[in-house]
Order: sequence, then C-alpha cells, then structure tokens
Amino acid sequence: MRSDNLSLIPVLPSDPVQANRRRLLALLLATPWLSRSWVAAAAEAVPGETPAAAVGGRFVALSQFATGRSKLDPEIGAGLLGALRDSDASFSAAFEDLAADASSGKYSDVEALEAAVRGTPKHPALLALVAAWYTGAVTVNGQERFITLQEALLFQPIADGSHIPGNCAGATNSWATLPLPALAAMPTDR
Amino acid sequence: MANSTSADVVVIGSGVCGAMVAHQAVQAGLSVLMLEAGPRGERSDYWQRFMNLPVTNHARGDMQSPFPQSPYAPFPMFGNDDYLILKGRDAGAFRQAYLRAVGGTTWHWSGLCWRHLPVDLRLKSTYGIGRDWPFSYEELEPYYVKAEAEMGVSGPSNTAEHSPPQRSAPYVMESIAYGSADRRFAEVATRAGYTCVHIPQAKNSQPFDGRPGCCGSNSCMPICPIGALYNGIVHVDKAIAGGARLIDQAVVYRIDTDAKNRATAVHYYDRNKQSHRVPGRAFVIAANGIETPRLLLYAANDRNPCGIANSSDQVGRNMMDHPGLHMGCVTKEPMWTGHGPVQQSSIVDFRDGPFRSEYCANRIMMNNMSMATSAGVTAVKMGLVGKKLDAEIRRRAACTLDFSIGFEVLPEPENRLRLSAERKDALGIPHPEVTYDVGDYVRKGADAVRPTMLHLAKLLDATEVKITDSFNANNHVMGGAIMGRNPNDSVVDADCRAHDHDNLYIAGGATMPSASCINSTLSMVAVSLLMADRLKQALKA
Repeated sequence: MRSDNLSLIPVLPSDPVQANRRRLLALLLATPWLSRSWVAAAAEAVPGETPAAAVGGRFVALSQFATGRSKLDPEIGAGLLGALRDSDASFSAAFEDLAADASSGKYSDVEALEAAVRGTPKHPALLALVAAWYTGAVTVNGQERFITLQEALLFQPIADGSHIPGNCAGATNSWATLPLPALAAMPTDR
Repeated sequence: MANSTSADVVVIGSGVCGAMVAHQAVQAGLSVLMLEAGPRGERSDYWQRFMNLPVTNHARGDMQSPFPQSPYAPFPMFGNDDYLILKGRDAGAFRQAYLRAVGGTTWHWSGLCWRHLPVDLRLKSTYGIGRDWPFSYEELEPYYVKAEAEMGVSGPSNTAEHSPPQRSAPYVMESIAYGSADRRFAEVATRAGYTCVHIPQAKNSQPFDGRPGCCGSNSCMPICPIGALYNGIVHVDKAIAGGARLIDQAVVYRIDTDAKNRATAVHYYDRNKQSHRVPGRAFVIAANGIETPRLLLYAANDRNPCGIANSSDQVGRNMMDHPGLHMGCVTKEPMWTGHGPVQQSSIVDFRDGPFRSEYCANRIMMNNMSMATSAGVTAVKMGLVGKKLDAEIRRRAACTLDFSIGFEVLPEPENRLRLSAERKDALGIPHPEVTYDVGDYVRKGADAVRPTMLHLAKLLDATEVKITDSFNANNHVMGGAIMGRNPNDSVVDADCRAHDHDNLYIAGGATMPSASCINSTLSMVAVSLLMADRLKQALKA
C-alpha cells in the first residue's frame, strides 16, 4: 500500500483557487528569483503598487494576449504563475521575454506571436502558459498541480453546447429539448 | 441481542448487496450488525474532491480519487495501482476500480439496471457452454421486481424496448429523456434496423423515495451531486434507521467455526488495529467479488485449511467481469454528448442467439459522457493557440463519440484470485492477486462485433474511427464464490448459503454463475434479496 494513501485526510486541495490573493502576492514578493527586469518593471509600477502586484499584472496582461480573453481572474493567474515557475526554472525568463513581445505592438494576436517564437525557448513557455489557463492545472515534478476546474478556459468555447460535468445542468429532462448549437456558432462572451 | 458486539445477522460489507440484506433483516425483526472495512464519507465531500481533481483526471475517467481510503482497507487507486496484483494473458482486463467505503462501489456506478435474459441462467443446457444457475429466471424474477422497486429503476414503458421482455411489473418510473447525442444515435441505429433501447437505470426521472430527479450533472461516475442516482448508502441508512448498527473501518480477517463447521463468530480489526470478536447466529459476506474470496481464503482455520467455504477448491476461481472494447470516432455533425446521465442508449440485438455456442454475446452502448475535458486536454496537447485552439476544442467536444462494447465472459476455474505471496497490506493481510484470460470465446466475439461497429460509424458519417485492441475492465466483478447445486464444484447453494457452513451466506456478484454481457448490479441485488428471504426463513426455523 502506498504511504500517500494511508490517511483519511484529503490529499487534494480543498480550496485551491480561492487562496487569498494577498498571500500569494506576498509570496511572489518574497521569492528570491525575481529577475532584474521584473524588478525594474515593478519599479515602473504605478505609485502604491507592490512589485509583486506589478509582476502579477504583467502575467495577466500576457495571459490576456495569449488566450484572447479580456477577463482573467488575477488570483487564478497568481496560482498558475507560481505553478509554471515551479514546473520549469526557465519559465521566468521566457515569461519576461514573452511579456515584452506581447506589449511591443509587433504582433496582432497570439497566433502571430506563436509563429514568431517557434524554435526559441519562448515557444514552450507560451504553450505552457496557454495550457495552464485552458486546463487550470500545471504539471510540477510529475504531479498535476490543481488550480481550478470551474474557471478552466477549455469550457468557454463550448459553453453553449455543454456544461462542466459535476455541476447540475437543470431540471430533469430539460436537456430533451435543448437546441443543438452549430459548430461555427462560437460563443462570443468569452 | 446478547451484547453490543453480537447480532442475529452479522453482515460483512456495506455495499448495495450487504445493505439490502441488512435492511431486509431488520425489517424482519432481526438484530443486525454491519461491519465495513472502509470509512464513512459524505456526498458533499466526495463531490468537492471530484471537482478539485486536475482536469486530466476528469479526462481520463478517474473514479477512485474522490474517495479517501482507510489506512487498513486499501483499494485500487487510479493510475499506478499496486494493490490489486494482476497476472495472466489479459491481466489489464481485470484492472478493477472498486471502493471499500460505507455504501460501497455504487457511489460511483453508472446506475444501469439490466436484467439477465432467462437463457443466461441456463447457458450450459442451452448452448453447451458455461454453467447453469441452480434456479430459473422465473424464480428470480420477483426479486428483480423487488430490486427495481428498492433502488427506484427508471425504464421505458414501451414494451418493445424491454430486454428481456419477460417482466411481471412495469418499471418504477419512466426513463429519463435522451439528450441530443443519444437521441441522434437511437434514430440512426433504429432506422438501420438495430434494436436500440433506453437503458433501465437506478436514476430518478422524478422525485422518488425522498431523493430528487436527475439534474443532468453528467457525473454519475464518480459522484452524483444530489443523490438522484441510487447509491448503496440509501439502504445503509435505511437499515440503520430500522435498528441495524454499523461499524466502519472494521476489517474482518477471521471466521470461527465449531465442530459442525457452523460459523460462530468473526473477528475484525478496528481503526486502531485492535481486534474484536463478534458472535452471531448467521453471517453474510457481502464484500464484493474480490474482497469476498480474499477474506474466505485468508480466514482459513484448522477445520477449513484451504479457506472458509472452500472444500470444493472453488473459492477465488471463476473470476468474471465484462471484458470491454471501445470504439472512438468523430462525427461530421455535432452530437454534443454530456446532456443527461452518462449512459442512456444501447443496442441489444447481440445479447443472445445461436452464435453463443461458439462466441460470446455483447451489448453495444453509446457513452453519453461529456467530451469537454478530453477535448480540451487533447486540443491543448496539439500545441494550438488562439482561435484554432477554441475551434478544435469545440469540434472535439461536440463531435467525438465513444462506444463501449461489453462482452460475456465464461466462468473458468483458471481465472483465479489467490492471496499474494509477495505483498501484504498494513494489517499483514496478503493483497489479492488475480490471474485472468478472457478466453477464445470472448476473443471470437470481439472479432464478430467489429463489422457492426464499423457499420455504426459509417451510419454516423464518422471519421477517425478507432477500436481498441486490448480488453478493458468494467468493474462488474463476479465469480469467486460461485453458486451451484453440486458442493464439489461450487461454493454456495441456491440459497447463496455456503455448502460447508449452514449459517454462512454470501451476497453479491461473487455467487453469480454467469455474467451475461450487461451490467451486473441489478442481478447482484436480486440474488441478494433472494438470499435474504432464505436467510430470514432459516433463522425463523
């Protein structure tokens, strides 16, 4: 019997995404591996904003560009950023470069950015960032680190034709008369 | 009742079969003690743990992780399990996902409530294969009715959809309505001449027995969030309300027998590894198809050196499940699985026929599980971004179909559970080790069904058609303490009473002499209810 199954205490996070944002930002601030450029970026932050908040803001801004979503939860972003850093020591540097690219005005959308960075260390970092937001999880040391399910972006392109399994869909048999959304009718409220 | 740790009836295991027997016994005025190896948990906690699993666990169908283990009652874990040791040609086809918990494995079942066909109980005399049951379908039929009533089985009122048609009572309630994918599949299959039916299932299409109607969470496996799906915990609680007592995290490991080889007491370890002795008038082992033979073998004593109830050397033999194959495909038009329960429609044309003298029966079922998570994970792995990523997720979620084909395996003595000589659990009890080969009867059946599957894919205008080439388990564990008239080749008699011990009964799939090709729970419950009647009669006498 594996030792990690010896306890009745849940081994899964019970409240993962709802972790206090201030605490996460404080952790970011305390981390020693913030690069000089991030610190510089933080130094350019608006008066009253902490350096960690500035980094978090840059991550969310890059994530908005990379996912095409204007509404992204910064608390989830903080969790994903921490997991991405833990999963790959080189992510921090690649993130910095990608953030600069995204804000440079050279690329109209993520497809253009993705094509431009192929073959560079920025490419796997970009895909990892996109995967993290879409799945709500990051593989860290061979284990999946759960951040969110309910807010995973993969559910958004199918919101008109599906729901998140585990959530109640509606009254009994209400699904019998649901219209079948066409493939081309992508939900617009993303 | 003599004291707090004795009872007229001591039930080992609190899954659906044990709970049903306990409920029947307390209703008859008997004192009942249920001993459950696993812990008691709450639905809301299980649901929360499910919703906090990484999306890849959802995509891969992880049914085990929402349920915590007791330190002394391990069960197979999702992924790299090292509890259930598997060997043999088709070892992977017996990778079962059962629970040891109060309420048992029906916490995460699909709820499908098929009946065996009458001929399934007389395979040997009809087709010259397998075994005959020691009683007929007609004798079992009232217990099917009772099992359906206890669990609240919804099913079609259209008699043309009854499989089998031999029913003495209607279903408790009408079937739950098809969602879009099942509706489309049923239309296409029916038009092509197949018999496609609403699968009867223990899910409420309307409020029933204090539980609500189905809310379409599409998470029957691993957990219904609202209890619209019947779970064994329903009858655990009913039994307790009727006066039964339950001790959870109580691992039974020893069975005492007297000079007449009657069982006199069982011993269990509590959560602190302290041993307790529980005397009783009658004992019912309802610990699932794997843990029941494991206990019988481990509890060997001086009078029964090869194991309790094992003078025939049949304990642990004849292990069965429904070996499965899957067909995946992508349709041109969106189907949108995921609306309503996870499994709704099935083709039943191949449940029986003269072919069964040569190869096995099958049932073909379209899975209505949402493809959202698997579509998302797959599309992300493709390295797509932006609009292409969203479009691919949408296409895969809307158009991917999965078919589950279940096959009828025969009871073979060499498909055998033994106590592992290599590994023991934290109590020092050997792990179960199963050697398994589905056999040529199933392999021929698998070859026979492939043209049908490809035909169905063509009817659905599907591409990317893939049929798996190795058999999977379906968690319908049967055999291990098989029922029969002859004490030399079976473990229990037609009352599910051990040939060797006249006050020891076995409830559940372990006793079933044939598997048919359909989900086994309703038959397990019906047989357990029959057993409960015989037990009550014996104790009254």
